[in-house]
Amino acid sequence: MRLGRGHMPALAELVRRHQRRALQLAYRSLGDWHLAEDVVQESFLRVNRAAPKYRPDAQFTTWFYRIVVNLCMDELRKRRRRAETTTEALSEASTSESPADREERAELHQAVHRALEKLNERERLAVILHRFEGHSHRQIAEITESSASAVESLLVRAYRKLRADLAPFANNLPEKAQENAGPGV
Amino acid sequence: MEHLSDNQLLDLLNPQGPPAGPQADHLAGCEDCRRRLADLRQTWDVLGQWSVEDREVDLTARIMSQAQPARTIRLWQPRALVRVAAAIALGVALGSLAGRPGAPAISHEQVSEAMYLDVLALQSPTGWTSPLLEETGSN
Amino acid sequence: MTRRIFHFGLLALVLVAGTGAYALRQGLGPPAPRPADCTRHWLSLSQSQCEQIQQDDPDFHTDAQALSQSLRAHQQALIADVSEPATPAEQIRAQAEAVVEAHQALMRRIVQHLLAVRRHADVRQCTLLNQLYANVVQTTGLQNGAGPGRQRRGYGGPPWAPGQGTGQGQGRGQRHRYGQLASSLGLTAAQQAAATQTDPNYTADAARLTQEVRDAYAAFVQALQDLDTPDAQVQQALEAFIALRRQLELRTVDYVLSIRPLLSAEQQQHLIGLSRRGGGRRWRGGRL
Repeated sequence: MRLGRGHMPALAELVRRHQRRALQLAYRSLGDWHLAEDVVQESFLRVNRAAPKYRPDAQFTTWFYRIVVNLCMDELRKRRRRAETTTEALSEASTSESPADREERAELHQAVHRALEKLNERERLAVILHRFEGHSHRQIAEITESSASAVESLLVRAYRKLRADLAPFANNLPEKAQENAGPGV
Repeated sequence: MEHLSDNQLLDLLNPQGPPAGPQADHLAGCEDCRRRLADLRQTWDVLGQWSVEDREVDLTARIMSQAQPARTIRLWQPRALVRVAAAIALGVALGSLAGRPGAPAISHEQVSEAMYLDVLALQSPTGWTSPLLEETGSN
Repeated sequence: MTRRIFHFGLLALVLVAGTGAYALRQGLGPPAPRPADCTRHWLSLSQSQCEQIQQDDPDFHTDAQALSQSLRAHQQALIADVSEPATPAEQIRAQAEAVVEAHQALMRRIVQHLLAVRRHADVRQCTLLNQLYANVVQTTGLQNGAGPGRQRRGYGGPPWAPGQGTGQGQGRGQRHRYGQLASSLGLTAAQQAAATQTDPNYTADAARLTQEVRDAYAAFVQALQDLDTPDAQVQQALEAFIALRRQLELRTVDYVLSIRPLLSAEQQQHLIGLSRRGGGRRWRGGRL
């Protein structure tokens, strides 16, 4: 509300609170940090511009993530039209890892990334919001402005595709993960 | 026996999903669903291996340098008041010009009055000879 | 308030202010035309004509206004004198004389201006002027114009002029109006008899002078309307008229003053009423 009245420190506070998660979401969606930073920056600028019209009946995070997701979707569509793929390294090496572990992890990351890239934009973002942001079906539906049933269908389809592509890597999971066979995480 | 749907299984994996409850009871007695859940969990866990490092990047400065304050205008600011006054002045000027009446229609009476022609009528300056000079009536 | 709302607000303000100003200007109506503009518009005088008239007679409106105000002041003074029973007859007569002279001065000034306009107006414009004179003198029918075959017919002189006009005015010139004065004052038969004894010649003098005044007025109007009549002749006709009228006025003043002691209070009021009909500008409300 203060941002709607031109109170700029309010914008700085919003950036401080939400930029980290927004960057992770954008990075997972786009696979490129520079693009992710651009998308997040643009998202906050749009929030600032639209602030006078923002009605507090919608949760801010839902509104904000909707902006981020839409910008990521636009970027993915552009990339698809240009038939581009990201080649950026997907993660930085941990200094505590051995070279073999590092290579294995990198290979896993590449596989996950390739598998996600095979999904269409909506499936991909639904999975990222579900698996990595921890949103429920209803929350994802609000963010993507879809119905809950549409989101459920997307997720089912997306996980089936991912399962097929990532099954070979299931054996590489750490023991701890393999032991979690019961319901719940 | 009705098996659990894929969505229900996904809910069981999602920390934000609903509590296990009845699904747990079904799983205990259904090997098929347990197998499907295990498959999903594998995918879930593989995906979970994709970690993203926290980047030490702060976009605040970049964003603040580009952000403009919301385009709000307060009426009591001098600039706003000047614009309001200018708008009123412009409206009055335009309305006055548009409403300016055309050349007046001059009547007989107006021009006679302007030329003092009524003074030239046959009249008595004192009024006392009016009965003598007036045409109306009869003797 | 966002910038867009502010700009819409400004636009609305312009529209509201403009509509208000428009309505006000329309409601106020056209500004009252200046006297000089009336003549110019009515006669469709060109810029050069206006300049020539202005050069010929620069201060007409100022002079006329001053003379008119002077006349009114004298007329009001006369009314005041007549209203006061103790006012000496000499004072009333002097005041009446002042009224007559003020009226004459005003008439001269007006005619001077009309002649100036006439000098610089074309035939069509002079015809329009004659229409105005006709309204003033309240004539009916046409008078035989001066000069053969010219389109300068006056719009008639007073129809009471004997032998003039198209069948109107015949014989009326011989009628006298003595009886009208007596009835205006409300004189009784006894008072009329006493008045006749006091001033036995008034009846004849009034009749004669009235006819002469009317004839002189007709001649003056005709001269004014006839473009062939030189300015000097018009002015002579005017002087002849106002001289005769002065005689009639003062003769009547003397008569009324002589019978004033005979008048009752009510009849005094009639006399004051007559005074209020004194000629000059027709003031709004019609009376002094």
